[in-house]
Amino acid sequence: MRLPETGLQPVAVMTGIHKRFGETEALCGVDFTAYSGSINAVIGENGAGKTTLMKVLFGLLHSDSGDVVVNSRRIAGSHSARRAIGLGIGMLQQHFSLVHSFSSLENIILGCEPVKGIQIDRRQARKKLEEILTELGGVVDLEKPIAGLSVSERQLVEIARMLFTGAEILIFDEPTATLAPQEIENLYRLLRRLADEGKTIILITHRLREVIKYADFVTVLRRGRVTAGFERKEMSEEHLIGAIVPEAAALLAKKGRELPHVDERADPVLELKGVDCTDLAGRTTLRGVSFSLRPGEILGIAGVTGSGQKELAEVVIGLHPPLSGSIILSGGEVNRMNARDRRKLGVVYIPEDRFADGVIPPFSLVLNRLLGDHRLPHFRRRGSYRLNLLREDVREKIGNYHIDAGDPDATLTSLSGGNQQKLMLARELDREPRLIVAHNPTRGLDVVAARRCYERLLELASQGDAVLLISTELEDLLSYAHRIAVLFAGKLIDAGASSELDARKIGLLMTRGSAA
Amino acid sequence: MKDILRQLRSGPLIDSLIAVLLAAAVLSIVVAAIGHNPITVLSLFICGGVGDLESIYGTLMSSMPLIFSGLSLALAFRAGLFNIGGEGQLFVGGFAAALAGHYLNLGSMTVVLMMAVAAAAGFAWAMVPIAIRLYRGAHEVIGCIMMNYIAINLCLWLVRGPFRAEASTEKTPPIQPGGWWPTLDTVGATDFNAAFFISLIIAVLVYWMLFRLPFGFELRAAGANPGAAAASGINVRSTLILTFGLSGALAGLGGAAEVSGVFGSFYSQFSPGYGFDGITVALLGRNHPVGVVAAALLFGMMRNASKLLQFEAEISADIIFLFQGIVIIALLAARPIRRAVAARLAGRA
Repeated sequence: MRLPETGLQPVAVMTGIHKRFGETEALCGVDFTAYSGSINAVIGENGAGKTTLMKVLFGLLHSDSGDVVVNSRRIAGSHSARRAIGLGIGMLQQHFSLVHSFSSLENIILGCEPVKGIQIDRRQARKKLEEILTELGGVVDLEKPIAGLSVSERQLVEIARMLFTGAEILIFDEPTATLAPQEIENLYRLLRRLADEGKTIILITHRLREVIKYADFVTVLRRGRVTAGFERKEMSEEHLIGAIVPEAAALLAKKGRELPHVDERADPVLELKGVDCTDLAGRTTLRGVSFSLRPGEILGIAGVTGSGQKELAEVVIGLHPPLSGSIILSGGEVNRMNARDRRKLGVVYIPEDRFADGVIPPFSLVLNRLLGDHRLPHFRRRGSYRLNLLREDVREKIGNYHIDAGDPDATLTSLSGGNQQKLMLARELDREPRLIVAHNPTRGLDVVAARRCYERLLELASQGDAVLLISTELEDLLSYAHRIAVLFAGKLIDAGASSELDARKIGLLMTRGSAA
Repeated sequence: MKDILRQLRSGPLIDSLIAVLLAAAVLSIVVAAIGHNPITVLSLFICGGVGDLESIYGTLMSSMPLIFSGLSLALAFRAGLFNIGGEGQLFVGGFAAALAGHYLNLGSMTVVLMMAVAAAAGFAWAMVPIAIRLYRGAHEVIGCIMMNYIAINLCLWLVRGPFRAEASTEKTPPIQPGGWWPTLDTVGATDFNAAFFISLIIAVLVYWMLFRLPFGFELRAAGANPGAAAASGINVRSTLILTFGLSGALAGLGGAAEVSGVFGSFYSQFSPGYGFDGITVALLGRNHPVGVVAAALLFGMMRNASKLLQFEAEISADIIFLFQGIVIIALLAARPIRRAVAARLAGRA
């Protein structure tokens, strides 16, 4: 990478980093430099080694060879997260590491509790934290348990925690994956201010638009090697895609296929009429939700995270019965039908959080593929599972869905996050569905894989499947959904045909509940 | 067969071997500290465990109840549940089998009836803690411990009072001749009967269910990730209830096997804590039926040999409980040790 002309200091310099996991070479001789006072982006396909590289910097993983120099100090082999924090490095991971029953205050001081005598000095901690939060420009109730905070508030708590430990180099792994547009803008404004104060921001993301808009430098990884580095003024979507996946540039440049035609007179596949729901604690999660979905139709559901998206998905697939109202599937009411029987009617589900609801990490690829189909007679002979047939099926899916995996009997955790997502997509979408409930289906997928995922959804829709597409990616909703509705505090507001909408209008509905 | 090898080949098997070796090393130090030669003690263990046909029969029969309770615990662990109530389920199973075997006579089928009654009793006894857990949120360990007290003391009261057969011993009336498992061979004072093979057959059935049948898949999925299991249409609650019931039934079968294969009646001292030993057996066997049988054979051998040890070297038989305890701690140490060795070897290569 060329050195920038300005007087920026290289704060973290990694040279010749190698890292193997068993047979796979995750990093092969990666050079990476992060400059102070700037936002340094790291981009690349799924499994390109972005997260691995950052885990090496943060001391969560040990490199097999190579040098890491932070603030001109060479870090020897015994790097650890504890030492990294001591050196002023902080990392916000893809999956937050907060203790849910603890308050924000307790979470932030966890691991570096200020003490007075033998007691934790809460007052001093509070004072320091309030200063940090004021500086961050965010408002968070420090005494509220984390479980009661929204995703963006939790993120703020995580950032405050990094600053509390004195971090000067802040690593963010996919920080905007679950944020609303306004929240994303706020986050980047905050990152820019931190950079202007001289902090070093390192950003892993799949969202090229955000990189182009906000990053100062970008490093592109491909299969464990650096393929390109750009400065701000050289960045364009074309350049970045060309560096990430040269062979796919053509696919992405191709205009998306037309949305399938929807027959307005066809009977709806799914209909909700005045559905109300409450959670276990009795709080209302859905209020009078009504819509209908015809064969071949893709209905996009937008909304700020936590507005009832998960509850909507779960009530449709049959995990909870609605409190009132009715759910009609292919003409019959299914309020009391359980998830297994609804699956038999062709309902498939791509959950928002695959670790919580989609896959079983310690199980093999074969068993993860079997999940949900484990009662099908097709996969059994004389009662027993036909494991060889299943292996064959997994190999086929590995090919069809471009999953970077070899052995069907390897555990799921041996795959990168994006490849795990692809396997889950393959399992659900190949099931000959009638109704697809997809909640952030491209979470963790790179540009190409995300595009392929949508192409597959369009293909299924054109065969007459109905798709309920719940997403925080407004651009995707605008390009791939026929109609868009917005969930606002459990209420579903019809926003109209996507061809007559733009991100700003949806953003207003998401945050205010009205377009005015 | 290939699948069994695949399941065992990876880390867990090595961890268990490391744990056994570690525990043996610690035990050797203890033995040396109390003034005995560890080598002599080891040879006594081997002599008394597998030295001749009589000791082999003894070892197999001592392993039998451990196989049942190990399978019981392993099944529950696979579903993310801790059935520490195995001892209570074993007592009610054994007691119910003894009564059925005395009062009902189905000829040679009596023994089968006894097993069925014991399984049902164990199943029913396990329903209470799991129901409290799933419908009221109290951890199953608490419920199990409470149910253990009730089961053990109830059975002891019954055998000392209403169902006592003779004044000199705390035993129920003897079972019908058809309630005994057929004896396969007798050497010296040791009877070797079919009860041991029943335990092996049950282990095979548990393996088949866990790894080849939809219900086994569902219980493992519910244990490993309840959220994903529910989202893919599995009824997690009913899966856990059935699993816990089956775990109780396996423990109950262990009680019946002792009655039908060893004592011929319910005897107040019929279990030295087999239900609890199942925890160690399941952990060392990595909750895998094959591992459970192997671990049960190891502990069964040590138990059988402890008589010889006490007689020849005057070392208390309780030393095997010390061994069991150390094994659990050593299991925790085994994984870091394996990783460190693997890293060292990888570095050299």
